[in-house]
Formats: sequence, C-alpha cells, structure tokens
Amino acid sequence: MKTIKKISIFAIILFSMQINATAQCSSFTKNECMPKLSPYIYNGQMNNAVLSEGDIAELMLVFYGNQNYRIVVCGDKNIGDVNFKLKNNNGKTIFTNTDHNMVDHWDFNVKSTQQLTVEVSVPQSSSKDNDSYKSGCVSILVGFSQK
Amino acid sequence: MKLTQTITIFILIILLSSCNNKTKTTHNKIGDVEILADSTKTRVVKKIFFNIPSPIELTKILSSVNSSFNPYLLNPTNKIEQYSSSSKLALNFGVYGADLCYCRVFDQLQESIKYLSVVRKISNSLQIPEDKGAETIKKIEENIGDKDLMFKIISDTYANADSYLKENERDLTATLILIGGWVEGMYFSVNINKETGNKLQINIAEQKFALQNLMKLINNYYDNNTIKELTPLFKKLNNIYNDIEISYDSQIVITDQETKITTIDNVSNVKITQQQLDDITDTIIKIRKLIIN
Repeated sequence: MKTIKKISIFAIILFSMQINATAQCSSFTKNECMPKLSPYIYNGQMNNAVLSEGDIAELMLVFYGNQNYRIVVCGDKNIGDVNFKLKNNNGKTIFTNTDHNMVDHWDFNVKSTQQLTVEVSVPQSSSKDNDSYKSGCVSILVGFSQK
Repeated sequence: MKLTQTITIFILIILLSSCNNKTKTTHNKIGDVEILADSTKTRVVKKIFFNIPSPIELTKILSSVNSSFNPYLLNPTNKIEQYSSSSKLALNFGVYGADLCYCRVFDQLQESIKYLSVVRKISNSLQIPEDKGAETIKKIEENIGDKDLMFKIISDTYANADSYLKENERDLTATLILIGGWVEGMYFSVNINKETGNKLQINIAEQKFALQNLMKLINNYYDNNTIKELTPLFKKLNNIYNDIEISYDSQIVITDQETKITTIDNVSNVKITQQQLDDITDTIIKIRKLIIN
C-alpha cells in the first residue's frame, strides 16, 4: 500500500508537469520574449512550442509591402542559442542569424507583399553522455510598424 | 483491497503513458502540424505555425487610399445580444476587433471606445480573463487624445485572448477569432475598393497568401459544425484566388549591419481581373453575412 501511494504521488507530479509545460512556455514567451518586440506592434499571435535538440519549427507569414517587421526568436537557456532563418517562397535563405552572432531578433523591410517562412532550429549539442536530449520553450514572435 | 490496488495501478499506467507519447502520436492543433519521425531514428519534430494578418495590419492598409469613415460598414454593437454560442461569439470577437481597428484608423475615438467595450464584453462571455495590466475604459476616455495608446490596447487585447486560449487548448476559439477578424478586414477592403475605383485591387489580390494560411487553419477543424458551415464559401474564395497570378522579378537582399535591418527588394507582378474582384467581393459579403447574422 505504501509503495502504491508513492507511485501514485510520483505519477500525479509527472502528469501535472506536462500540463504546466504549456503554461510555463506561455509565461516564458510573455516575460522574456515579448519585451524584445518593442517598439513594434505585436501581431497578436503566439507561436511557441517545447522543442528538443535537432527539432525544427516553421512560421509561415505574409510580409506586406512597405511595412517594417521584427522577428523575435527566443529559446529557453537550457537549449542554448536557437538558429533562425528567413526563407523566400522558393526556399532560398534570405537571412540567417548564424551570420550575426546568433542574435535573437532582427528587423526586415519588404518592398512587395510576399509570403516568407521563418525556420527555427535547435542545435544539437556536440557532447552526448547518454541518449537524453535537452528541451525547452522556443517562441517566434512577429511585430510590425509602418514606415 | 485487491480490486482497489488493481484500479490504482491501471490509472497510473495510463497517466505515465500519456507523459511519454511525444514520438508515438500525431495531432493537429491551431496552425501547426507535427510530423513525427520514427523514434528509433533522428528526433526531428517539425512544427508549423500559420499566421494571419492582424486586423491592425489590414486596416492600416486602408488609410493609404483616400476614403472617409463609413459607419454603415461596421457591425452594429447591439447585435452582440444575438450571439450566444461560443463559436458565434468568437467569430464576432474578431469582427468587432476589426471594427475597432477601423474606427481607430479613421480617428473615430469615441466609436473606438464603444467597440472596445463590446470586444471586452465578448471576451468576458468567452471566459477569457482580462489582462491585469489592461487599461480601464475610464482611463482610456481620460486619455482619448493619445492615439497610440488605443493601438497598444487593441494589440494587447488580441494578444491576451490568443495566449490565454492557446494555453488552455482552446485553439478552435482562437482560430475563429482570426477568421472573423480577417473576413471583416476584407469586407472593409472590398467596399473601399469599390468606392475608390479599384485603388485597393492589388492589396486584395495579395490576400491570396493570407487566405492560403487561413485555409490550413480551417482544415484543422473540418469536422466542427461552424467550420463546416463556412467551408463551402471559403473553398469558393480559395478557387477564385488560385487563378490570381502573382510573380516576382529577381530579388535583391540588402542587410545593413548598423541599423540591423534587412531589406528584401523585388517587384511583384499581380494580375487580377474585374471579374475576379467582383467574385471576391460577392463571396466575402456572403461569408460576412453568415458570421454576423
């Protein structure tokens, strides 16, 4: 009976942690990432997920002509610096933060309205003691302003 | 006692297995598709988000043409009494939010406050708690001359609703808000386009991309009754847009290291016919009618 009690408590804690992960990711996004959008106006759509090393996420987004945009990509310290690229409709990379000291945000201006893709990837760490993968919250936020 | 023990162990097995489903199950949530690889191979999970232009973005475009505020384009605030289901409320949260943006763009600040009150009322009905930092209506009225404050409030209202709904796995509600907002934004565009002799035809054509993203979101909820009702008209709209050609001349990308801005310079070639414009106008009016009535 004591053993069952211990297992029950452990299972309940584990289950609660999973529910909390989503809420924590949102909290992380609001507290750590959103301030980086300023002074751009947030587009109001939260794009976040818990990603592990080697995982990729994409955001499909319309950039309107003659508007400035800010893309903020931030990740939990646990997973280190996150890579992000901006790709055009043909899949060609227009921008990558690996060329700019792994910055977590960048501003863009487009002359003509077009659909672009923000691709985010969590680098794999070089050393692997075991098969465990680090994971953490990654957020992609978009802000805009008008010239 | 043995039965109790057996039931407890059974429940524990279910709880523990639900914590370890990352590489076994697939599911669709708002704007994302998970493609899961075999867990014995590389762990690559691709998550895709689809964003729709916010009503603030859409209505800002309207100010680029010479048109005046038309209150008859707005969804009357007293219609809120008709909306009882969460689907209708969510769709019209989006509609009234776009109306609020329209009022703000044309500096109708008293009307903006009226529509902000309606948006907040619907937010309440959808059980979205108000952000603790939200400005009171009284404070907004006291600062009515501060136009930027209103934009910030609109942005915060949308952001608060979106994040709360996603945190609480109410992705369908969040999608319906986006649909309502986009349709209302398009409703303004097609009407102003008519009024100004097609000055917004290129902007309307360029909504092709936003619609593609919206269709991806809609397809996630194909078995929902509200979505089922809207789908035929959205499919019709999508078919019209599929025939609109948009192409680009070669692209020049310039990154300014000092200002940290990358400029993507290319010229678009948009081909849209009067018939296509008329068909889009007609379909948007029908979708909007379904949403607000």
